[in-house]
Amino acid sequence: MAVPPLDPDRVVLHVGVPKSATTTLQFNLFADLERVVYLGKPYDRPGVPYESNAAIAELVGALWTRTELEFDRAHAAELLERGLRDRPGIDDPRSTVVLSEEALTWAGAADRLEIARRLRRLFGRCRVLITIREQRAALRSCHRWMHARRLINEPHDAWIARCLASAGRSGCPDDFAVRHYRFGALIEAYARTFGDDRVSVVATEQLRTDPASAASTIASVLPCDQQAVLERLESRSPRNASPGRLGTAYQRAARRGRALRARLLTRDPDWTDPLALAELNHGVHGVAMRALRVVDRPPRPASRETDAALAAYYRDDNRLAAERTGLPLGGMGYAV
Amino acid sequence: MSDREPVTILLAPPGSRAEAVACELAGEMTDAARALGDEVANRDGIGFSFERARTLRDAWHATSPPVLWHPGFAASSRTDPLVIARRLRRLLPGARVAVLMDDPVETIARVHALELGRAGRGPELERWVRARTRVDHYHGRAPDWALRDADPRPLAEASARLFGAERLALVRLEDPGRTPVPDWLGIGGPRFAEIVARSARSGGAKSHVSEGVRRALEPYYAGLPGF
Repeated sequence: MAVPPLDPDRVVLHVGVPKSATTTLQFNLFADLERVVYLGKPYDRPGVPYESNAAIAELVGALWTRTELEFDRAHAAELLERGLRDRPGIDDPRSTVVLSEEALTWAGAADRLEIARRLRRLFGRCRVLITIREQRAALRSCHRWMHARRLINEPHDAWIARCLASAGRSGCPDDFAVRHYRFGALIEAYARTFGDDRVSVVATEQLRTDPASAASTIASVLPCDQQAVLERLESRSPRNASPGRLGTAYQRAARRGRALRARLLTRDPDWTDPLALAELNHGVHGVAMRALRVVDRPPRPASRETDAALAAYYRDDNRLAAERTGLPLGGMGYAV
Repeated sequence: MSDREPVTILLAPPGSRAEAVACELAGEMTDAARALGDEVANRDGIGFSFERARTLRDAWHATSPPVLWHPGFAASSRTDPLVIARRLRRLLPGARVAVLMDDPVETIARVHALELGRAGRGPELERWVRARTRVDHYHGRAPDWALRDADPRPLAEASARLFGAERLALVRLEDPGRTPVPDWLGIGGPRFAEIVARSARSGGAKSHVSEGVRRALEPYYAGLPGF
């Protein structure tokens, strides 16, 4: 049965910059709340038809990886419809649909303003929750993530220096990696696209220093009270450090091993691995990952020069973000 | 400035031999050209200002020859080619566009060597390419930005849509002696061949391309003439 068009008031888009506790919110909150129809990672969620999850995964991929030449609006609308069809709770008019994906703010293949416009066309004037994190800490975490996947081989300081250099290999300042942490501009763009009153902002630091106010902001867009948000965020450790190179290699090997075993047992060469990210941090895998974390070389702290350069890069934008959101970003360690 | 003055925009995949040719055709990049190029190419919709770009365009036009090239125009994985083409069309509506095209595998070999600081061995390049073609289970896509950058087709398609086929020249580098080059580009066949040959010599190191690399790149460039 076709799903009727969604009322924008029933939709919340979580636009979290990478490394801003997005996984914590996705796995511990959105996926766990009653009356929330959650669309997002992990895409292999039990209880949801495989086709629905696959359609949403494809839609999200298209939203942020397809350029304007490649993006097909009609197909995107069709994917959304397929993704919502047969999803538990979608027929309940009191439920809220939450789409969460950090890549929506990634300065990558698709222009970020175009991503916002695509979302606006798909979901109408819905509510937007943006999560941010102090840039220097986020970039250290981001570097570790990319370094573990061998997408960067340089140490953190050298990488930042290259990002901030006036002209990189492609003539652009290679600042794409640091650009998506310009929150002021990001918040302004979403406010322009969806309306000032539709955009809420939570700083990751609030989850630690002032969880009640973070929970209050999150609860204002979700069909639950502040206490329910607090309980879910506090009951689980918010730490979700990316593994290093050894940990990443182990996770890949674990997945390959499982897939090989299953293909041999089922004799199905197309068997796909349903092992979720969370499972790779629990049980035997959890023990192995904890052991590897000890030997995996921890990232070096950033030098003072790098910290100063990043502070200078973000200062004006942080002031704009503080002005727009009313959050005391300076007190949370942001350069203002 | 008058928007009707003939301006030539050169596009070539970053790091490619075609880029070296574009660089030579455009001559030394003036500060005004760099500033205009930076504004157009280096800002996505969040941060781009048409008013600022218009002021920079006027400054560029007052001080520079009418050939505009900036490597960021063609970093198609980083900046949406259609968005860039729209901006250029709006700023320079009468412009003509030349897309210089080279074998993308050749470009990848150069980009890899540039990143490495020396010519890489076959297995090194293969590992580099495979790291970029492997779909990350977490995000469900491959971090293939560099591979997309080397493909000249999005540049050609975006330019054709915005500027029209009659204002667009697709110039291939494989056989420069026989490649048709439009008159408005201002270089005849022999001179073009000379520039291409020079760019090949001065292009810096190039990593070794093994069969494995070609196989890994097939899904990206299949269908490109010459691949």
